[in-house]
Amino acid sequence: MLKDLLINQITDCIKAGIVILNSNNETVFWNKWMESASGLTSAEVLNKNFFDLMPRAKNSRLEQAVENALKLKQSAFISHTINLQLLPLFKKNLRTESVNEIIHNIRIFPLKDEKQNSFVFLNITDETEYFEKERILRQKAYDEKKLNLNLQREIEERLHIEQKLRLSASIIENTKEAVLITEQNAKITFVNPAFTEITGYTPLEAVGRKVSVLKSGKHDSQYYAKMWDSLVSAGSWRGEFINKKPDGSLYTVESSIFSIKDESKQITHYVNIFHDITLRKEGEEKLKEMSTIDSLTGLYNRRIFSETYDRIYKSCMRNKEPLSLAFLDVDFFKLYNDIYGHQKGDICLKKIADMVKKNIKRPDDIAARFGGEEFIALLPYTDSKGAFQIMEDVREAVLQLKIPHEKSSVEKYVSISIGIATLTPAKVISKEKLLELADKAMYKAKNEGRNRVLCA
Amino acid sequence: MFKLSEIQEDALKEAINISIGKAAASLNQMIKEEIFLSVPRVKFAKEKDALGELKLGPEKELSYVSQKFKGTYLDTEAMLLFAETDSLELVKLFLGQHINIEEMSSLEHEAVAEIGNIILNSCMASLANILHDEISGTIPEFVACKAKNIFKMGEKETVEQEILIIFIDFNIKTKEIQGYVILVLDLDSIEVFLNRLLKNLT
Repeated sequence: MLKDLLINQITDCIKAGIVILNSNNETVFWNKWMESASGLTSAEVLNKNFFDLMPRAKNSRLEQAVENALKLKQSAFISHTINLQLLPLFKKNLRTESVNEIIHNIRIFPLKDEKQNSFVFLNITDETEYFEKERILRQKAYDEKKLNLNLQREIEERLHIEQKLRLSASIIENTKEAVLITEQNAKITFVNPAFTEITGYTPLEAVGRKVSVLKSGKHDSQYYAKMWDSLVSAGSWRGEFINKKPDGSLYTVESSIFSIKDESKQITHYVNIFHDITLRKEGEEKLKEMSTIDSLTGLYNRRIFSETYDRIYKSCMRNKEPLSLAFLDVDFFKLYNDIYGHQKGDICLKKIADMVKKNIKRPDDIAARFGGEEFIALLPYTDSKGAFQIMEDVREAVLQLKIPHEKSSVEKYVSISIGIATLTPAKVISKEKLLELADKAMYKAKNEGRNRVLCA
Repeated sequence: MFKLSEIQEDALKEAINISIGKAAASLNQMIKEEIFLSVPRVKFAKEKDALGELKLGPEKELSYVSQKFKGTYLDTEAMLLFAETDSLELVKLFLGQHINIEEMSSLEHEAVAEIGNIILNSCMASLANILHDEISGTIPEFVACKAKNIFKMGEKETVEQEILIIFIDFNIKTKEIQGYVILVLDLDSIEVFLNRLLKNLT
């Protein structure tokens, strides 16, 4: 009796639930902690079926474990982590006056009394505080991790941008292309070393000034207006500039300009990337000058004609011999190009040139392409009559090529008009006079119906 | 040195197979995942040498649930053992994938303890059934340690003592969770246990 009393007092002092069930699941012991947590007094539960008192625990892991403890003498551990809301146990928080469910673990042990009767001992422990602390700690750790992750991402992003900027900066510094950045008002804000090399302006001299400081005056205002049009409408422009260095020398650049817009699509800057093509241009010019033959027709080019004309004019002057000059122009050639295309047009010109070459074959005769669809023939020591005969042969030969020209109002085929001028060169007559006369005669031939030869 | 006869070993393996099979079935009911079990491997070894049987490096972080069981014919320590990461996966499997944790705290330890408890109890219940015996067990204990320290929990002298160890590979394929069920049997009681097994199984 004394022993029972002591045990009762001890179990009432323990801050955990102690329940003992007999082999019929009837409650035989229920401590103070259980009374306050369940709201059921010892008197209310004794000798009552535990699972009738706690219907929530029916068919749960707990019931299974109790059965196993009774039958198989197995101990068991039931955690709140896996089995949320095991028993309806509550605790009142006096500060907040709220009533909260007690989160608990249950340990189950098989017991036997001296008469070998089986009992089950349930030890219920309050894990609420522990659980809460764990939850808060975990939340904190999670938040911190998230924060760190965000921070890390941000840093990585920045590093990435910086790296990119550094990379592009080093490219801009080292490229042979001049990079010129201006504000929207054309004021220079940045230049790279290649810029200085090409333009002769140091960054100090260039930055802050208008980009027009580079102008050579070689382009008219229309040229710049076109560029601005393209920049504003298309956002970019590509072309050539002839610019002037501080020392006055000229240079040509091939330039690519594009605009930079802000978030609101307003142009804030222009980037102009260019390289010097002066040498290339000079080279091209030189090459052109060096050539004597017109690449399309195989006739002499205009430059050679001019040189030769000079020489022959003087020769005829010395020898007091007549000099004839003929202008040949293809009839309705623009129309031909429009109908048959430029490629066919080129072929047509080539065929005509071949006929010209074939008929103007005396050693001192010269036939050249004067430009476009215009040819010129220089017939030294030849009077008007002789020249007419030769040119008439050329005209007929071209017509006999029978190159179809549907839209020509003169012939079904491509025809030419020829104007001839003849004179005996003298000091008082300028070289240009002959050209002028021949040109006039050619226009007269056109006016009089084309496909004909006319002498001035 | 103790040696099992072929028939003894077969009986032992069969008994363990049946028992673990029941345990796996009870676990399967709870998590609805297929569980694969290997044929039990039986080894006589010193506890300190048993480590080699587990294909785990000595520094591998492990967690295991251990329970001691005692009946008339059997005295054993049973363990359910996982790599720590795998036991975390197992907890997630039980609690649902929504828990987003990378480290186990005491809360997860409790969960693993209960899972171990279910499996080991179920296994021992079947074994008790075969033996027609009552096998009472202790409350499960959760231990986290390095692999090299698994068998150092008991008294010092047992480390040098030869014991019978039964290994069962335990596998939840879809989640790539792999574990072991290990039964450590005392050699003093092995003869009685095996005789009883043979008698009941044949």
